[in-house]
Amino acid sequence: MDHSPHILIVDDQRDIRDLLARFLVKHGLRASVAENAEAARKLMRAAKIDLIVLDIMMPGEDGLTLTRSIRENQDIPVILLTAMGDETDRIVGLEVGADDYLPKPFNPRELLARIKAVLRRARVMPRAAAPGRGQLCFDRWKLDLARRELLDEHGVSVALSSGEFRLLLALLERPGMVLTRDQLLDLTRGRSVQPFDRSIDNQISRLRRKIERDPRNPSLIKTAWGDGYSFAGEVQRR
Amino acid sequence: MRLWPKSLAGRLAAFLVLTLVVAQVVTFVLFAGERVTTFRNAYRDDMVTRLVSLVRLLEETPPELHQRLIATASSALLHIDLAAEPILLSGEAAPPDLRDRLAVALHKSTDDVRLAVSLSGWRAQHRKMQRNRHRPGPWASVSVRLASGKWLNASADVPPVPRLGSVFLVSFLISALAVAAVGALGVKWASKPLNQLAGAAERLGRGERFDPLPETGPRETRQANVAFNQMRSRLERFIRDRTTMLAAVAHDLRTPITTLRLRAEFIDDKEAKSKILETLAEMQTMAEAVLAFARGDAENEPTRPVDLTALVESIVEDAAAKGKHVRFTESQKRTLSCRPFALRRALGNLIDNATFYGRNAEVTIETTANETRILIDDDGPGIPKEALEHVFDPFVRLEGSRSRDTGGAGLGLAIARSIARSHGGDVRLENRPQGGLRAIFALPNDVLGRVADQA
Repeated sequence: MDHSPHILIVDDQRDIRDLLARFLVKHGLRASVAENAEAARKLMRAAKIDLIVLDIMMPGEDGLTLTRSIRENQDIPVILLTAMGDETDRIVGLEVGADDYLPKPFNPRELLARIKAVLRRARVMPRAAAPGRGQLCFDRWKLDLARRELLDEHGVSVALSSGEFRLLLALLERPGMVLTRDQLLDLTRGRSVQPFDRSIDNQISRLRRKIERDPRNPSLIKTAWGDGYSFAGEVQRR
Repeated sequence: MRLWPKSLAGRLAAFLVLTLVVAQVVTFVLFAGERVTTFRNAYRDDMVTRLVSLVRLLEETPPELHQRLIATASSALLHIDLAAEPILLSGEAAPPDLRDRLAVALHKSTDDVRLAVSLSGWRAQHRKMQRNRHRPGPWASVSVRLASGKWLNASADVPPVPRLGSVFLVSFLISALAVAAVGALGVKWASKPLNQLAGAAERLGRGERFDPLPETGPRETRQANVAFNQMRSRLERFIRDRTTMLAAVAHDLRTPITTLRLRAEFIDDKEAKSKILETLAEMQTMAEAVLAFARGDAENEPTRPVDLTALVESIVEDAAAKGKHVRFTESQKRTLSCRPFALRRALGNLIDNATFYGRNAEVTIETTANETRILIDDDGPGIPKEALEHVFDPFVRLEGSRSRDTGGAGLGLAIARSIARSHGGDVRLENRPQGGLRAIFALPNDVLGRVADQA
């Protein structure tokens, strides 16, 4: 039997869904296609689907609504195809529970990389801890996962670079656990195909400058004895 | 004329004061003569009454008292003495009616009363007196024969007319000031909508966001504001229609580009495949730029308090993570109210330009009295002076250095400027003296101030 992951592609554009299916099959995945939400539901009942690639803009029931209903009933990862450059789509998409997003027109190879990353993560992590939803609160800060922004107690937004965001998220998801530089590199590279060559130490010091009350005497991000960092504060997920 | 004030309020105040001066002068001319006549009549009547009383007293008292009585009745202006002869000739009576009235009052025959009042005008007399310093002869003379047969001779000098004194001047100044102040305040109040309108027109021209003008107040300003609001909404609808069309075109390109990218993945010829992917990437960049430009701030991102320094630093870090040679010079924390995604796009464009045309780019933040500036310096070739404004026009790319295959649709600067202006700021370019270009993304400080108040 074929144990390669089964991907469901939902897109109203026939060319795109058929070509994408061919492309994924060519790269060793199984693929089914659906042209709308209804057909997608039918397929999900008929076969075991490992991941759904879903276009946000579809006639009839749109991708966001479908994602929300999938989230309520099942535990299937979703990658959303959003309109290009549309921040709102991206944020709403992550808020309704999509695992990742890619703006259209996308690079097929990047989509493939994201599919693999999400599948890998889905195997390792229980869905409840999936990123992209809600807020992580620590000290006087709130980290909004969908907006990828840090808010202080006055609601002032303190922007993080993508690297800083991933690093902070990796630490916040494992409070108290010492993570080596290699582990951090590994964790923060997860969602990105581009090489992540900014040194971890630099990013840690920039993060400290942003969130620590006294960056020279950090109380949140501790340097672990030896070769790593850990988050020492208390983290609440909302 | 230099004295003529520039503002409407000043002009109206000056005009009102001028009118007041003219009115006061006319009033003065009209009433000055009247005032002198009234004064003269009162003076004359007083003199007559005094003479009548004196004559009666003299005729009923013993002669020893006469000198003392005369001295009491005299004054600096009224000279009285008793003599054997009158100072006026018989029959002299000018005007006769006054002489007759005097005679009746004294119960004497008209022959015993002689009177002469100078016919030359009071003021003429008065002026002559002041000019010549000597007495020009009495203004009025009276001779009355007493029962004793002696003549009572009286002559009166012209009394000085009391001046229109400082009271008049003070009252004039007070009313002038009051009129000027009320005029200025009134105009200030009335021209406030005008200033508002001018400001709104300026902001509209710059593409800033602002609330519609209030359609209240007096009819004229209300009409002007209504007309302005209508013009603005028509203008915005017109622009919106065109950008919607542009956005739709760019948006619809997504599907064919995605399809072509997928098809390219099945091409076996490696070289052809990479060429096609390159072209597609370029098409995508252009479509994205057009879409970003067309959309502008149409995404309706809310304005939020943002740590500007952290925002700029994170944008620079993200660019650096993509392999761009760009550095951020640290600076203190600044909080301002803005739309961070829009700012991210604008600054991202400027940094892309800087790292594209130069080898290195450096980003700093500086604060002046009026604005906070994000400076993006590069070490590239700069831009000819005459093209510094031109490059902001959409779809403009300079010949030579900015040829077609350098990518981009020539919209980066236009987008950055439109975002800056919608924040009330601007983007400016200048060539640095040491070479390279400096892009200045300026935001007004009052935006910063407003947040500081909230925090």
